[in-house]
Amino acid sequence: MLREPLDPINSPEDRAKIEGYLRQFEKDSTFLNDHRREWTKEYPDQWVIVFNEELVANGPTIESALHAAEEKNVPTHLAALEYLSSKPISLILPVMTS
Amino acid sequence: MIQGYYAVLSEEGPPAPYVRAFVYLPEVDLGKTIHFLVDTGADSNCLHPRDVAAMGIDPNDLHSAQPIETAGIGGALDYQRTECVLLFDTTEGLVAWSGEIDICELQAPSPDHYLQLLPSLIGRNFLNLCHLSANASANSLTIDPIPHPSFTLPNRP
Repeated sequence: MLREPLDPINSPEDRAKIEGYLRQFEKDSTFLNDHRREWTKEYPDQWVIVFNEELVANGPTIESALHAAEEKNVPTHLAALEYLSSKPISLILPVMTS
Repeated sequence: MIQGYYAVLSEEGPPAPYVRAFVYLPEVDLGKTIHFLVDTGADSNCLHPRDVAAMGIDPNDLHSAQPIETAGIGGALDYQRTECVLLFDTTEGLVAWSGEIDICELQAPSPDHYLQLLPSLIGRNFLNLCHLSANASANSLTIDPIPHPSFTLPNRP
């Protein structure tokens, strides 16, 4: 867990930092999607983590992939994370009632 | 204007609308970049187990959060509702929204693999404050905030 106090409304420095996080995340997500087909063959039914446009960790469970990334000091809260299913998955999401 | 996009969960699945955002939880000083599924069927924004795990949230640390029960297809889940700031990168700068998000209480490791696949959701507590325009065939999704005090928009010249 990386606690990082931020003032995202009032601090221009923190807002610039978050803009940087989001732009890197977009690059990492695009990189992951561009390699999805290839990696699904190489790492079927595994979680993969991409940071700085590099595949930094993979594992059969989300915990194992996160642990492998943390071992490499990857800030997992900023990385792109995805499950590469070898089979089609259909999700029907719950309707929230509060 | 916030730009979303269409993406697939698996190779053969139909594209679904998503938006990238940074979520910040002031109570625990934790933030994360997230792909949110844009879900007009969800009452509220939610963080689901995959992102809760990657973010390192311990729901026990959310002392001012309110417990929320949800029901739907597939059963019930428990959440903690807490304050958040959602931040979106736009061509005009960062758009911030101050509101609430529900944190799924399911602790890892989850006994249910499929629950870990659930994307986090942008729900109607946010979407009802926006003009939403979606065109999957054109891979176009725009989310335009209406004037509301919960938004902090980029400074315009």
